[in-house]
Amino acid sequence: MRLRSGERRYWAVVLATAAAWLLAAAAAGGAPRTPPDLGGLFATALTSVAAVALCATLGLEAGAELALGGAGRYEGAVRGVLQAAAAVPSVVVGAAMLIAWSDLVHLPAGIWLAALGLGLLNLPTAVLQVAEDFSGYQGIAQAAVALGATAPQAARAVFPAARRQVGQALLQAAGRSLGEAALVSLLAGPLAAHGEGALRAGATLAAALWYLEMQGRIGTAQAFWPVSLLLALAALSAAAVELFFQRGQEGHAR
Amino acid sequence: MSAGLRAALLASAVPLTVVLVWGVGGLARVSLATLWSPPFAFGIVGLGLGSVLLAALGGGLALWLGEGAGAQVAFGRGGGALRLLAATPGVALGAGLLAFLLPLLHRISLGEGVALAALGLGLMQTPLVAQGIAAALSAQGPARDGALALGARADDVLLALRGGLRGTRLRLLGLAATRIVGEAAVASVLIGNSGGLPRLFAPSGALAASLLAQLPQAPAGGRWQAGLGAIALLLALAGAAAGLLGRGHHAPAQR
Repeated sequence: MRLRSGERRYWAVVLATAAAWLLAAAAAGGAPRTPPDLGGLFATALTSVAAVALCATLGLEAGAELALGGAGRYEGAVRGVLQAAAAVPSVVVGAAMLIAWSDLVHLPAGIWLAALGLGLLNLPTAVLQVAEDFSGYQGIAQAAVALGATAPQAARAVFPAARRQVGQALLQAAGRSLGEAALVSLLAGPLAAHGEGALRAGATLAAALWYLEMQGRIGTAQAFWPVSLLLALAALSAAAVELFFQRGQEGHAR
Repeated sequence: MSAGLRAALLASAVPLTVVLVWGVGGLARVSLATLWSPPFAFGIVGLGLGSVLLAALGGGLALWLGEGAGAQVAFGRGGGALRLLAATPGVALGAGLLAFLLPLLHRISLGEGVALAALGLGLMQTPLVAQGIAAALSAQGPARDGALALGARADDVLLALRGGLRGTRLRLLGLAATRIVGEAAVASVLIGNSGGLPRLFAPSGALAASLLAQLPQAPAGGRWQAGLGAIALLLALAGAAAGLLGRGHHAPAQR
């Protein structure tokens, strides 16, 4: 696969950053002396996948319905609520879920609650993004409706054409989830009522890194793995989004 | 309206509804309380000023850096570095500043505070501003191409077209400032978490940072938790207002 000059520059910057980080960590005595804690990596992957699954199941259908006029005369209000919900800070969403859970449900918080929180955090953005992507294919939807399709059937007819953009929206949700520290720290991380230790299974990499920063232990070997793995995952997710976007554009051009 | 859309709407509105109930109740409890019981005090002015100062300094920095970067991106340069910055999680950026910049500040008897937090948060919002500026410049194709044909550089084109970008710049500044006010994880490690009036190079506080750091410590049902509910309500309303004002503008995601 041949890389374009823009892509070559991008990967040069990624590799240079990784090399600089490794050198700096080694110079500061932060080279890893212990194996990486796979619990943090597992929790990060689990929460991101669960958040994407929620966005895919609820967000796809809702976004398609919204784009194809499924909200009827309430469309303005629905979009308003979604826009407002999408702009609420993550720490507020986490705090609201923690309060609701501890006061109303009386069950301990944990990694699965953090996954649910990340899903709810990303859902309004995913719905709006999918709606925007689908609105570019109104012609297909109208043709399907003219042939007697219902709104869900019309949405299914549009999906093959819009799958690149939808995939990009879901990848962005995954990227946001893996870097989210505030919400996870409140719901499943070291600050949760039952939590202790930085790199235990309940804490994602971002939450563990935030905990180490708060304790002033950022220059230690303990901080090396969360930072390195987090940067690697972020670079990978950004590259995946970029690849999807470029292929989508090439598909359109063809 | 289909069941799927109704379910997504309901799920999206749940956090906002909980915050409204919790925050209004907390506000009433703090403001209508009749008992004065030191040593606890719940003055919100210091934290609020800290957030305002962060938004002003960080937003200004993001606009200043983002304008230059956006002009370069519009001409196909520097996009990779900007994408990398956009993809870097905030806590990793904060770790870099803590590991490399804070020791230098300590050497000259300065420390964490509003200045360091504004630097980190401003850097976090730079890709957002740059992408907005690049899109706006690309939309002014004929004027941009004309300036280029006359031999102008990216910075010259930005200067020439700046007048037409006033609305975009203001909107991006508002968006960046609102996101900075709502950012908790990075702010809490770089600002130092103190409850007094904000200071540039000494531990200070901000609304979102205090909510994150203190909520797990606050006893359930107490006035401390009620006060934090009022802060959550304030942040939610500011975010929702910014979201509604920015309708139609497709903002790139933040990490």
